[in-house]
Amino acid sequence: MTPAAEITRPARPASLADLLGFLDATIAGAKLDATTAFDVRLAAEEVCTNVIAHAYPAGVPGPVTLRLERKPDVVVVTVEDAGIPFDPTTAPSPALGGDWHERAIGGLGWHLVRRVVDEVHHEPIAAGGNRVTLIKRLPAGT
Amino acid sequence: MESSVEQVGNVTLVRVSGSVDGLTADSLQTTFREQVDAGAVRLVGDLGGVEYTSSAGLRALLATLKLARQRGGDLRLAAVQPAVFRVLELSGFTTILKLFPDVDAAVKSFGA
Repeated sequence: MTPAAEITRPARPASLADLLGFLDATIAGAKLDATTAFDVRLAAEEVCTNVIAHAYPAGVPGPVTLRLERKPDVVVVTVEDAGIPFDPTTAPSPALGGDWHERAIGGLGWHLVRRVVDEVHHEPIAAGGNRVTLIKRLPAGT
Repeated sequence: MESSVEQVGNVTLVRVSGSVDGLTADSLQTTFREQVDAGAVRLVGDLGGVEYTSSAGLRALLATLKLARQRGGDLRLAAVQPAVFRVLELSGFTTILKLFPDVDAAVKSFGA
């Protein structure tokens, strides 16, 4: 992961294998501790699957770009699309306290992202689309 | 991800290993649903070999849990590893799913 690794694919379910394969290979090469590796993998997967599912109107997919960068004290994950404006930092939190039959199937992705990384930023891209930046701080001494 | 199904008394044990993610969760959900459709609603998921789950895996577990309970059964989990337990906990799943330290305890909890 030095200095940055990047992949761009059509935002379609068929691209998920490439995106996750890239994630696994890049994380494996970054010599992260197990918890950081898990959290970066989880957060990046959730953002990518969200772009694939929601960023573009049905039948008109555009690109998704995933970038990972290891800096001295943080891992930065950036996901860009050219789709419908969406700010995940305003996504409602799911109700986690209900009984089993009240729980919604789904809606947990952004909740997990917010819990496993330290910062979630969103900015609209001038030409159209979204850039989501996740910051995961590395444990001291790694 | 790999999964296999076996009968232990009146309980159906689904052993799962690998990563349950956006690529594999549908196949896990299908495995569970086939059991419920066949009338096997007392389900134990042995997650001892699962090192990763994303929200896609959580969806598969919750969908299975609902299906099984609506038919008078349950999905109970055994041997959940720490990293996966943390995802379950962050999602509030540890309060709705019954978890057991090992397969034996999970199977016995059904009175098998």
